[in-house]
Formats: sequence, C-alpha cells, structure tokens
Amino acid sequence: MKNIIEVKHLTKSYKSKKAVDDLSFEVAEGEILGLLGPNGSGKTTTMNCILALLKFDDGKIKIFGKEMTPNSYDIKSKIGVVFQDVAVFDELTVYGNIDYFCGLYITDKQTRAEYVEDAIKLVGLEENKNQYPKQLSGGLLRRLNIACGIAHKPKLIFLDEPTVAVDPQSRNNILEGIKRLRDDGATIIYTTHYMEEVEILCDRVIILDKGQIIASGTNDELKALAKIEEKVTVEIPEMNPKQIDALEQIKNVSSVTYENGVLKLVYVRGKNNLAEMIKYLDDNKIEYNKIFAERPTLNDVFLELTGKELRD
Amino acid sequence: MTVSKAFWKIVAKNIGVIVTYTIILVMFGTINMSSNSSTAQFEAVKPKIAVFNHDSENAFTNNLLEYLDKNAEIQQDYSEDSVKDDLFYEAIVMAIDIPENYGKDFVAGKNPELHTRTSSGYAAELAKVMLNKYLATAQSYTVLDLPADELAEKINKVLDNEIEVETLSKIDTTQFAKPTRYFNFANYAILACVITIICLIMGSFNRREIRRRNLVSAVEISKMNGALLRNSCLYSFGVWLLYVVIGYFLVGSKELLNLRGVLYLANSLAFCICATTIAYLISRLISGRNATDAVMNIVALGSSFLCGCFVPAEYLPDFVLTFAHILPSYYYVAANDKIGTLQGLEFSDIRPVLINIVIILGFSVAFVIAANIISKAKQRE
Amino acid sequence: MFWHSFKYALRSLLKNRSMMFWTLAFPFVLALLFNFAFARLHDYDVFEAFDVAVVDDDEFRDAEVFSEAFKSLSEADENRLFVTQYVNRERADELLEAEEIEGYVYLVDGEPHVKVKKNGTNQTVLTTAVSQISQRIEIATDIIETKISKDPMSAMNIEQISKEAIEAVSEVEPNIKDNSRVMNMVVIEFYTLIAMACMQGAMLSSEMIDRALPNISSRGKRIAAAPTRKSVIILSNLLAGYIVLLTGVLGLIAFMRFVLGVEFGSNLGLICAHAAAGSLAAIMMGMFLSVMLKTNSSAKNIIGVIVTMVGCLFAGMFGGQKGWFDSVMPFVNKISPVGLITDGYYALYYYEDMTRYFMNLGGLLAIAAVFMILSVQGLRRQRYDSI
Repeated sequence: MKNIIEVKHLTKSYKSKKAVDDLSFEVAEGEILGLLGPNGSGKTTTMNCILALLKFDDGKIKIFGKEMTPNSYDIKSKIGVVFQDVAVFDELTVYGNIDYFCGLYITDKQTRAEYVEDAIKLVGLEENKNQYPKQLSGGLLRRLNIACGIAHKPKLIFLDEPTVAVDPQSRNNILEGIKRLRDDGATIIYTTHYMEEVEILCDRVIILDKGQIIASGTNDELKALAKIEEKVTVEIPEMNPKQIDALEQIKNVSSVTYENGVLKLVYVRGKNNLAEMIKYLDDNKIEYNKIFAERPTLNDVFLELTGKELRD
Repeated sequence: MTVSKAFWKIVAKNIGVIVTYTIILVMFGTINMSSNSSTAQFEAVKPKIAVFNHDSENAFTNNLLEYLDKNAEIQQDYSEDSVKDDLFYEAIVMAIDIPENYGKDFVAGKNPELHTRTSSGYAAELAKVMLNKYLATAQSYTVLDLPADELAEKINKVLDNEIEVETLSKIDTTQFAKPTRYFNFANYAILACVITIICLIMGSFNRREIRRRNLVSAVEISKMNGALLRNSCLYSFGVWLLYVVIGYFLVGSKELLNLRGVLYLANSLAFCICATTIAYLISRLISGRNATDAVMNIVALGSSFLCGCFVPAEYLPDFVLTFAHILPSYYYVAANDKIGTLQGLEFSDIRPVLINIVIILGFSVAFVIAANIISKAKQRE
Repeated sequence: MFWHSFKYALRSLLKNRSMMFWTLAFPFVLALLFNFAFARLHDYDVFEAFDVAVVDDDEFRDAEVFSEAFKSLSEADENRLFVTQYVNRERADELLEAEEIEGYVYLVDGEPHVKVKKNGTNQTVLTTAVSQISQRIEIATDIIETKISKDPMSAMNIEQISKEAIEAVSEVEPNIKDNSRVMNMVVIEFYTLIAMACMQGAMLSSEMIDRALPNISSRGKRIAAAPTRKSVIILSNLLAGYIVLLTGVLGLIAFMRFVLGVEFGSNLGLICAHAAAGSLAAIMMGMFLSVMLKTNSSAKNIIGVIVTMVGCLFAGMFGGQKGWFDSVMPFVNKISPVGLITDGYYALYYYEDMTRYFMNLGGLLAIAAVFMILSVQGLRRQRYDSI
C-alpha cells in the first residue's frame, strides 16, 4: 500500500522549547491514523506543519508523493481539514458556510450543490440548514465545523480533536461519519486525547509526548507494550491482609490493590484469569458482589511508558 | 470582596478607554479654549485684515490706513498667495486693495472704487461696518470740497467721538469663559468614560453564563448588585476627580478656588452621578461591546452637539434647543453658562444654577427607576 | 473562485451589524448632528429685531433729529432693527437687569449713551446704530456750520443748506466692490466627516483581511489550507469591502448635498472620483495594518481610529484653525488621507483652478499604491512561526 504522507525528521521549536522533536512517520492510503497524546505533546503543531501552515526548523514532508509547500495547490485541493477551533462565519447560515468553504475547492456549481447536500446529510444537519451558528448548540456547531472541512470529498482528511465538549449523540454521529468517510476511500489523520475514540476508530496509533513518538502501532500492538493482559475488579466487602498476600502469589498476577471494598488485580498473562479468580474466591469462601474484567487501555500504555495519565 | 476585585480588574484592563477620552478632552478642550479658535470668537474683537496699498503717498489714504490700524489688526508682511485660503479659514476676514490714485480721486469727489474681499461670518461683518463707517463719513464731507488734510481732520473728529457705553456688569465675566468651556466640553468625556466602562462591566456580569453562576453562588444577589452599584459610583467619582484636577491645571487655579469654582464642581459632580445612572440604564437595555460603543457614541456626541457643548447654545436653532430640554446635558450646560456669567454669588443669584443641578439629579432618579423596572421585567423572562 | 469568495465576503459583510452601523449609519447620524449644531452659525441673512428701550424724557423729546432717526429703526417694516419700549430710567434699569431688553438708550446734554448688561452681537448692533445716528447728526451739523462759516450769506438759505447736508449724510453709498463669494467655513466640518467615513474603510478592510490570515483566526487557517490563492481571497475580500464603503460614502455625500444643502461645487464626476480615491486609500491602509502589524484585531482597530481622529483634528473638524495646524506642522495634512480628502473637497468647492484638487487626488492614489505595495510584499513573505 502506498504512503499518502511521509514525514521525515520533522523538528519545530517555539523559542527555546521543542514542540516537535525529530518526528518521522508515514500514513498509508486508506488508513485512519490516530495521533494520541496529552495536551502540549505536539499533535496540533505536527498537523499544522504537515499542512504547511507553520514554518518548521528541519525535516521533510511529502504528501501524495510530492513535497508539501504553502503553494502546493494541487495537493491542497485533495486535503480537508477540521480544526480544533470552530472555524465558521457567524454571518452565514449553515448552508452558506458549507457552500463557501466547499467553493474554495469545487468550482462547478452543480457538483458543489450536490456535495454540500451530502455533507449536511453526513453530519445530520438537515433540519438546521438555514440557521446561523449562534443558534446552534455546541455539538451541532462541531458538526458544522466538520461539514465545512469535508464537504469537497477530500482524499486526505485531518481532524484535530473534533469532539471536544460535544454531547454523546453528536459524538457518535461524528464518529460514524468518519468511518463512512474512510469507507468512501479517504485517508484520515485523527488527533485526540480521548483514547476511547482511538480504540473505536483508528487502524494505527502514534502516541506523542513532548514532541516525540513514544510508541506506535495497532491498538493490540500498543496494548502489548503495556505488559498487561487483563485487569480484574471485584467488589469484596471484607478482606484481611493474609488473603491479599495470598492473591499476590497467584501466577500471572503483577499487582493487587484493595481499597474501600474494591479489589483490583492486574494480570500480565493468561487466558482464563477471571474464571480462575471466581473459583479462587468461592474456594476460599470470600464473599463478593460485582466482578468484571477489562482489557488494558491506551492510557495504561501511556502510563507504562511515561508514568503519566493521558488526560491530566 | 470578590465582586469589587473583579470590578476594578476589568477597569484596569480597560484603562486605555479612560486614557483615550481624557486625552481627547485635554486636546480639544485646549484648542477650543485658545484664542486661535475661530468658533470661540463670538465676542466683538478687532477684525484681522490685510491691506494691499497701490496708492502713492497722500494725506487721505494715509489717514485711512491709520484708521484701519486703530480699528483692526492689520497683518504685516502679508502675501497675496495666502489671501484666498486665509479668508476661507478666517485667519483674515477682509483683504482691502487700495488702487492707484485712490486718495487723489476721492478728495476730488470722484468717488473711486475700493476693492475688498471678505469672508463670511460675524468678524467679517464687523470689518465691513468699520470700513463703511469711514468711507460714508468721508463721502459725506466731499460736499464741502475740502483739501485732503482738512478732510482727514474732519473725518477723525467725527469718528473719534464715540458714544459712551455703560455695562451693568460689575464683574467682567469674560474671564470665566475658559472654565465654562472646559466643563461644557467635559460633558462628552464624562459620558464617554462613564458609560463605556460601566456598561462593559455590567455587561460582563450580566452575561448569561456568569449571571447563572452568580445566581447559584452563596452570595446574595442583592448584595452583589449593591457592590456593583457602589463600585460604579466610586469609579464615576474617580473620573470626576480626574477631570477636576485636569481642569485645575488647564484653566488656572484663580477661576476655580472660590464659590464660583465650587458651583462648577458641584454641577459637574451632579452630572457625573447622572452619567452613572444613564450607564446603568443602558446596561439593562443592551449588551455586547459593539452595541454599547454605538449607543455610547450616539448618546455622548448627540447630547454634546444638541445641548451646546461644541457650539454655544445661543447659536443653535430653536427647535434643537427645544428638543434638548429632554436631555440632562442641556441643564448641565445651562448651569455652566449661568455660573460663568453670574454677577453676584448671593442665594438669589445662584438659585437658577441650583435649580438646574436639582433637575439633573431628578433625571438620575428617573433613570434608576427605569433601569430597575426593566431589570425586573427581564428577570421574569 | 474569485466571484465565489467575493459573493460570500459581501454577504457576510452586509450581515455584520456592527460593521454596517459604523460604516453606513453612524456618519449619517453625525451629519445630522453637525447640521443641527452648525445651521445658524453663518446665518446672517435672517436678522431678527430685538428688544431695546429708550428713556423717554425731556432730553429725548428735545433731540428731534435723533429721536426721529431712532424711531425709524423701530418701525415695523423689513428694515426693522429694534422692538423699542419708551420708558423712564428706573423702568429701563429694571428691564435690563431682568434681561428683558438687550440694552437701552438715554441722552445726556444731547449726547446719546447706551447701557447694556453684557457684550454680544445685539449689544454691538445697538451701539453701532446709535453711534451711526449720532455721527450723522454731527456730520450734518458740521457741514451746515462749515458752509455758513465759509459763506455767511448762505445763512439766508438755511433750508437749502440743511437739505443738502441731510442728503450728504443719508444718501451716501460707499463705493466698495466686494469680490467675494458667499462661502461658509462650516462646510469643512462636513468634508472632514466624509473623510472620516472613508477612513472607516481601514477598519473594514483590516477586519476582512484578518479573516483570511491563519495567524489571526481559525477561519483563516481553513482558508490557508485550501487550494485557493491568497491573492484571490484577499482581493475578493477587499473588493467587497470597497464596494460597501464607497456606496456608503457616496450615499453620505448625496445626503449632505440634497438633504442638508452642503455645498460641494458642481463637478459631480470629480466629487465621486475623490470619494473613490479616498475610500481606496483607506482600504489599502487597512490591509497594511492587517498584514504588517503583529497584533490582534482589536489593537489594529484602535490604531486605525487614532490615525483617523488625529487626521480629523489636523483637518479642522474639532474647531481650531486648519491654517494654524498647517503653519505648525504642514506635512501632516499633506500625507494624512483625512487631510487630503478634506482639502480636495475644499479645492473643488472654492477654487476654479483644478491644480490643487488634482494634487490631493494624486496624493490619495499614491498613498493607496504605497500601502498596497508594502502589503503585498508582506503577504508574499509570510510564513508563520506560530499560529
């Protein structure tokens, strides 16, 4: 599969601080790449450099096999961008905004009219076509923001934290829409600090911290880095220290915590850990209420690699 | 108290507004108060003229020149190139061209033509009257066929004999023109400063999100409103004090350090209070920086133009003055004008001024009531 | 793409209430206020007779010539100067104190005296009229006496001499040719107001350009990421701003001319051309501010306002003599767009020779060109360190 984006040794500093530090990665055609990282990790700066909106100190960027510059209009015509800030005109209606921005890419009126209608349908704003941005709620505004960025059916789409402060219904709508875009053949770069979205959407993930890639790969590959197989949580009203110590001796258990009636165990390996735990509790006549198991999250990966949480 | 702190922080952030209007007041006030200003020349002063004499030396023309020199300000070393523009801008109000042989022909009874170019305006009319007077007198005497020097003597005798004008005024009140003009001009600066800042702050506190947050907080809403009002008054008092100090330096201490000065201060303080209540009312009616700026400009400029701050009230059309009666600025300016022409400082003399001050305070009460009514109505929404 | 961008720039501009108020509505409001304030300043055609009094005592009644002359000025005809009351001295003082009269006249030993309360136009008119009557009487008397002293025999024909003397003072018409147009300095106020309205274009174009700059707004970022040339976006935005501005300015001029009666001279083409040039200079200045100043929209706005108001000050909007400013700092009005616009209209109104007008027009076009070139250079070189 060919690479749509090639970033080599990208470096960008703001005054003395390195915002992006020798970053190199590729994005394959048709994939959804997640750029994950806490605030200030360099996600937006990376994106702005790729789009030639920012000067950078060092590195090379190629999109569609050609070097990207501010005057690369042929490349730009195939790119769609949805910025973190809502970038619409207050004085134009929903339809007007989408039509305006689409018109910067598509000159044919008929084609454009079709595309605008498609975009409105994609984000679910049919009932708000003639409303002004001030009349829209936060979630609907974000949907409009997205529609303005993708109406022209670009081959490569950048989405910078598109679901910040958005209601669950709008968020689901947005995520579904992104999947449909990928199904229609677009390559997507998705930056966020919500790991749940990355886990749902992305084929591949790059985790950034302090301007550097600290891990990259598929979801599963990354979770493997966390050296965690499974986490089991049990509600146990009463436990004595002897019982807790005994749990630590169980094979594959890497850590045990018991606080406020909740027991948490972390397994590094094993396929039947939950069943074996239940059996253990029953055998030892330890009373329990709820019990559930979960797979490791990207937050666990991040914590493992940096000692910090993804969301501070 | 946090409300006070937030209030003054917003004031500090917008200090630029206060500085801007203060500079405007100082600059424009200074210009208007100086004698350079043509619009300030409503008093009878010697008209500035230019004379281009193409006649040879003769007794008649020399006498005319002496008369002009005595009754007008002849500009020396004047160039013909400047005449057109200077007449327009009233740097001179009349240019006289005395042709060749003028004196000789006049004395011979030929009544030669004298060329003048005049501007429009009060000073120009005065200059015309002055010149007319001389020539009419001279022309009357030509019936006697006198030689030039005798003719000149007779003309001078008549024109030197001026009638006596007695003024009832014991005090020359032209010295109070400066502080009157300063305080009248301050109408604009006071309204602009007070309305802009107070509306800005009220607007911030009244923003839906913040108001809701305030409503659910542990502080009583009435206490909060009280704090806002108190600080607003304190701010207006600060503005007033600033302009008084500036006035002290611009106008000169002599005019302000007496009962007359106290009246100016009392009048302006009352007006500051009124401006605060106007701001309070406006903040209840509109929100948003842009709308506030627009309304403030219309209120401040409108009342300044219509009530005689920029152009003295006596020169405004009657219908404008009639309309102006509904504006508090009218009474503020009328009071200032009255203070400037007071002949005595007894109670009977200053009564009209005090009445105007009371009217201004009456307006303030009305604005506060109106603001509260609107506030209550909005709360129900 | 140009017309697409232009269409939407125009649409969003027209929907921007704040911008429309300052550009289109506010100058009209100011024009009305100016009209109200300045209407009567130079109104000398309409003279209203005012209240005076005369002390009607024996002295006055004895001075027949004076009293007849004064009464004639009080007659209810088109030349009436005074509305005269004939009262005693005490009553006259009362009326003067109460400001029910502007002044009063009384005679002492045949000589007229005037008493007033303050010094103003009406007081000057009263004094001048009384002085004139008195002087004419003196001249006539002097003429009669001189004639008799030269030719004592003529005393026999006193009636004829008196008649000649009276004719000499009353039928005199000084031969003064006044080569002036009736002109009104107040028009400068309106010309500076037009200049101020034009300068609103700087704020307008600054705002329009800011929208397209990625370091100022997110919309700018989106536009910068699109395959549309910067020049197309900027030119289309500028054109939209220019059209709105020029429409407003021409509308203002029409309002001033046809509703308020402000004089502009008769060359309609040049009046419009000057508005177009002034608006263009302002629009280019706004672009310059937007591109070259590394600060936010609000700060750029304030700078635009300051430049405009200082320009208006020097051009004579706020009283003070433009001539005085020109003598102190002559270059200001030659490089200030406000000064050039105002002076151009003044030249059209007041001068027959077009040189001065075309100098001002040329100056405006030159300013527009300079700002445009500098801005284009700035835009070309623009790549951002941070947005």
